[in-house]
Amino acid sequence: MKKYYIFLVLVLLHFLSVAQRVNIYFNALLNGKEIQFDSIVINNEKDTLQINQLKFYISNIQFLKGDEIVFTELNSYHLIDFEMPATTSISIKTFRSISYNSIRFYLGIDSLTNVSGALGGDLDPTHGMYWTWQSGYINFKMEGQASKSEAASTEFQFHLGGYQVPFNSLQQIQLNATDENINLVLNVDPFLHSIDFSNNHHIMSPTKKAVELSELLAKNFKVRKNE
Amino acid sequence: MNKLHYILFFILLSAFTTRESNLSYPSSWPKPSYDFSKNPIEKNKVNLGRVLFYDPILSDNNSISCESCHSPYSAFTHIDHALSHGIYDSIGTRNSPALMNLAWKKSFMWDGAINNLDMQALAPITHPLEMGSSIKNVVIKLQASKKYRQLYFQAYGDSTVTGEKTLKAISQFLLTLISANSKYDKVMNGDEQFSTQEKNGYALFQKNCSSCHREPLFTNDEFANNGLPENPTLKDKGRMHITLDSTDAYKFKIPTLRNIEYTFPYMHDGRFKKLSEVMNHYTSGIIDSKTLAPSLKNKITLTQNEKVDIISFLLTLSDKEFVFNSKHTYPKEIISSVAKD
Repeated sequence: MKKYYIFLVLVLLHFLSVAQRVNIYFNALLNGKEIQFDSIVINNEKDTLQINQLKFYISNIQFLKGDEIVFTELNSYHLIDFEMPATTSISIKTFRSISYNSIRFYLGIDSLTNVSGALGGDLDPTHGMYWTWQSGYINFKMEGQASKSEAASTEFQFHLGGYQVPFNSLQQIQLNATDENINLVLNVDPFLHSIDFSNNHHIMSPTKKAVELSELLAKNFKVRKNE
Repeated sequence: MNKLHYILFFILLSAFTTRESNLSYPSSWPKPSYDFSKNPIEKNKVNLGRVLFYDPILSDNNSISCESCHSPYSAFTHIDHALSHGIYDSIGTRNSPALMNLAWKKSFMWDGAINNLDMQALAPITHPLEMGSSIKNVVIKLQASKKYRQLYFQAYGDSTVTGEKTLKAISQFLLTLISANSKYDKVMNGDEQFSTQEKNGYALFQKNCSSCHREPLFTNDEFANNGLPENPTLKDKGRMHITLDSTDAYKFKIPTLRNIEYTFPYMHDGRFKKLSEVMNHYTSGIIDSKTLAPSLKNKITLTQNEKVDIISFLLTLSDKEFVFNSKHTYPKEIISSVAKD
């Protein structure tokens, strides 16, 4: 009987303990400014481009104090789609007060989830972030037009993904963060400047280039200090 | 507090975990690869999957259903078509495979492009030469249908259509397509006997073929180059298209031989119409290359009579009960029981 009381007390404590909310806001910058979708900007001075679509998966969010993981979000899969403003922020309830000095997450979807069959919510294949001709999630998708692209209607399409070696494009990112409101900024300039649009305007399968570009993107996530 | 979460989680888990599958198959068969705990077989989900399988609503212009290329009467393949036919009279690049015993497969397609049965249907739904649609459009069309809202409600207790529910329901129907009642199976159970010719063919089969076409499923589910000369138009490199690894050139998924009598033409591009042509390929048509299956490096020698004996054994893999099973055919009894659109 005593055991049950202890259990009940634990359950009560569980619900009484102080909940905390951590909000993560995502922004994407082009030429130092928030991306204006479908509007033409100058890239590398000599050519122009416009971004029509930008979507990526953020998964397995954890908060750390030093090397210790103080909180892991369960079922942590978020599709960030800049065309749908509601998806560009994540609110995490921690159920208790936590103190942390860094945040860690994946850009992309882990290999186990990639082989787990049909999944729902943000992982539902209706979101257009799952390859159909070959199984696997698209971790990062950017589409648009570039004046230098020699594709039909000067388009470019970068669908980065792949979960199997040697083309596993999943990236782990860890950044210093202490606030309850975290502004995560992706600067897409280095990514776009690294691409020669005249001979590389499409990536739509797991390749070495997809892995390299994913690594470059991962390096360009930063936490912007709150003003 | 984390510990508590785990305890609560396991209490919930034990309450909802059902038996592995409600499917019956011979106890001597290996354990299925499909994870039934994520999609336990239930009658109303199988029914929904069966209705979806036979409905051209999955294609962009409502012209092509799964059944178009996977007819039950040919063990769920496209009989007499070397390459699959799709929307707007287009012709694909490969021979549509027969569908059976799919719970035991680790990967799908001739090149293993698909890693889970649930995700298989996405490929034909999307392919411009097959159904030319998208799972997103399919979900929108299904949600607009009174019939499907009712079927989804019956299956999931909720009439909202999602990609996940749609794909899992299709898997449920496909998982029920179990062929395990051929003469071969009856002989193995001790209920029937092989003729002298079949018996001789079985011995030759075990000696020459069964390392790849492994019993009891008659495939080891691996990929192999069986020495076919490259088709100069299709230039299909098989598994290499997926792995980008040249050691996988010309390797294709080893198909099951069950119901082979019904599934002609044969090979990934349907180049052989008759089993005798297949026999002749293995004895005198093999092209040697770096990736040729090691088991085919040594020439297979068979007399004309021995070839006939092997074929007579292969015909014992025909499962008439499977091919004519009324639970697998067009679901008119389910469709007549739900709302009309």
